[in-house]
Amino acid sequence: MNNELLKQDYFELFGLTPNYQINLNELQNKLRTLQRQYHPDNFAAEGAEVINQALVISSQINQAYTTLSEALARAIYLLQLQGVVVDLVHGTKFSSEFLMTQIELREQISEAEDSRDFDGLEQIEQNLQHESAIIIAKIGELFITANYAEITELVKQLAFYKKLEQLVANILGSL
Amino acid sequence: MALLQIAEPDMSGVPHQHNVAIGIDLGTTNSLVATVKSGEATVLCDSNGSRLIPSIVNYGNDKLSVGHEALKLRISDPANTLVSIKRFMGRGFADLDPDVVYPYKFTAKSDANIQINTRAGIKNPIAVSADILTYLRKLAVESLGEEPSGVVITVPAYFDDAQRQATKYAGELAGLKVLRLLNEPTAAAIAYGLDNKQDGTFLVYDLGGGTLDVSILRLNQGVFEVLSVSGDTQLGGDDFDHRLYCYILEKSNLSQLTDEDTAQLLSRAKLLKEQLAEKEKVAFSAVLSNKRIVNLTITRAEYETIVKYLVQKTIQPLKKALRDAKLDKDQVDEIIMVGGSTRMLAIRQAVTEFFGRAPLTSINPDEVVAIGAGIQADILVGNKKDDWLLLDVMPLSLGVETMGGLVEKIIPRNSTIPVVRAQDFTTYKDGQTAMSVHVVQGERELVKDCRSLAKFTLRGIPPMVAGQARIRISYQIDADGLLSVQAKEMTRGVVAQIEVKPSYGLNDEQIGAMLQASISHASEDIQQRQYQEALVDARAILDSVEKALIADADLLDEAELTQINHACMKLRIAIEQKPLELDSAGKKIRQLVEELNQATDSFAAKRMDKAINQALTGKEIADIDN
Repeated sequence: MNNELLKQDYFELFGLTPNYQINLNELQNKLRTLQRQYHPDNFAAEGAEVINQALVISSQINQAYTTLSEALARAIYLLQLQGVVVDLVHGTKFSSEFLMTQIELREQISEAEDSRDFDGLEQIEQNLQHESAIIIAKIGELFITANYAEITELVKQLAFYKKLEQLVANILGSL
Repeated sequence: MALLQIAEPDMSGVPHQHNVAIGIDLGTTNSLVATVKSGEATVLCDSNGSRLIPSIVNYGNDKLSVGHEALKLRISDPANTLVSIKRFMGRGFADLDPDVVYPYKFTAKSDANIQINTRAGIKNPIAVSADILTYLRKLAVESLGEEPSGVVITVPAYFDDAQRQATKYAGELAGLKVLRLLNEPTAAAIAYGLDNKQDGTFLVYDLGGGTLDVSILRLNQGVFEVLSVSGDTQLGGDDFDHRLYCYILEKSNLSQLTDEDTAQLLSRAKLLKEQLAEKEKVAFSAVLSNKRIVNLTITRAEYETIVKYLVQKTIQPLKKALRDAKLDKDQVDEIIMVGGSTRMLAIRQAVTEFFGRAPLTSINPDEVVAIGAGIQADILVGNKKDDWLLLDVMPLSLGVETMGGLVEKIIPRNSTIPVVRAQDFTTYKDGQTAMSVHVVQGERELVKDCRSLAKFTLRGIPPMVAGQARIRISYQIDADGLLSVQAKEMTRGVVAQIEVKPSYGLNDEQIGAMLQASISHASEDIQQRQYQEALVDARAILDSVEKALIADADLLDEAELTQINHACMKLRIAIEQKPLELDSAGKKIRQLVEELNQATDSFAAKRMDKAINQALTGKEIADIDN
């Protein structure tokens, strides 16, 4: 089996040039092609060693797909390829305006949750997705001019919105 | 002795081209085995000609009964007749529904793990499942004439790691090579996908005896992708039976039933439910052990009212699965109904109402999962190349415990598997050489609301200043959805590396005992096989010596003839005796075969000479040179 695959970066693995703009259909088709080749089920009749190797490669392919298909993860990964490490936990300074918006959004969410307001939550979800889309578009522009410092700040903001989206999705799923 | 045995060239060594593989639907209520024979998936029958094998085990005085035989003992011997054992797989006492009455003698509730006292000793759910699987394996061997080279066992998509591990372990205990654990709805989609071979999005609604699974799958260019799974591990047909049973008690003012009566009424309730799928009104009557007669009539409308809550509860996971797959109801091309409980009209109506169109039911809902598993097993052993590939997902999120009993998610649910994620930790004290890691599975934020999978302590971290050590923990989920964890200290290379397999609710001692038991069974099996092989060899050599004597006895002098006849007689006596002990009997036969071999050595040489002389007679010298 091809161990060289494990040394490639995610874009190389999927036969793409590193770029923030990505064609999701193309990515999906490539995922299928790669998994048809390397998924452990293709080797079920073989020995444990071969299956294990397929497991490692197949996991890597899935990991690459997940990273490239998600706007936030893709931005962080691209920055990393440029030698910029994003620390989402530490050293983050947000404007007080941004923090206020976050607090308000959290309040809205927990109110809607308490009153089991399904429609309200779906509205909030849409708003969050809209906000995310705006940030993602900005990140895309900034990658063209390689403005990594500003991208890093936007990535941190996007992480906040994505976290809220996840929270709302979980609440909606459990209502 | 080879010289005496002259085999027909085209009789021997037929190459084994087709690997026999089986798919097993290990259900809560019934189990099935399917295989692909000459390109066609078929469900195998037991000796009664039945395809549905009740997932029931009875531990009798000196007899183990499984399937229909065990079912017959359910009412007379409820304490030793274990039913719906799948519900206990990978579970502890704390997980049991306190409202459900079980006729079993559980061991002390203080034990974390479910164990049942039976006449044949303490049994845990894995051992009981292994007994069912062994029965199914033997059924397959009888029907196919050989041991299957591999098996695919289906599990509810919503099974967590502990439940999957327990199932795989039961398969191994039963002596099966488990190629894959396959999610039941995925298996069903395979069975239908084969029929249609059409790209599209399928929603599978699988209501079995004990669990509800909802999966959304997409078939696209030969790849089956599971988009989302949802469900309820504690909701199934049994709950409908139980609801009906409670209703019977209520209506007849019954309480304080004996175990036998409980078992009787429960199985009658199940029958009643099945009849109500076909009739508007069913009369019910039963005689209890105190001779009291219970008589009542139940209408379908009445039944549908009392189970309305349960029916509605099954719709919730549909919404969740659609949300997770980011799909609208209208984007689902086909709805597939699986599981005997989907015969209930109330269920079909509720699903039809939800989607605004009728679901697919053309394949028998009891058999569709086994058929899909059989097809997948056939593909996995390599009988069918390039058919399709399955990309499954994790049903539940995986996380680790962080400060304050909170869960940090590492792999979110519905991630495509196999998947590996690494996480780096550091030490928080100077010179710290150990750290604890607690892995959990579930969607909730608090550790106490999730299922604990593995707790381990990583030792041997080289002492360093706080915050300097870097420990990378990797969580690997394989294609069966099973977890293994690896930890590595990064700064000084591979210093501390461990691999953790979650103990799925069994302690080391229990696992050891079960392994021991399976090994001793295995050695019994090996002895049996060796004895059988010795018998076959002995019969073959006797046969060939007899034939040689008929043809060429004149080549021997009287002493030689007596010696050969004597050796033959001793061997014949040995193989006709019923063996007291397999191991020694097999060895004895082998020894006598060897003696006969030696006695016929010179006879073989003489026959060879004669054959060569005959071959040479009448041939030209030139021919021999060639």
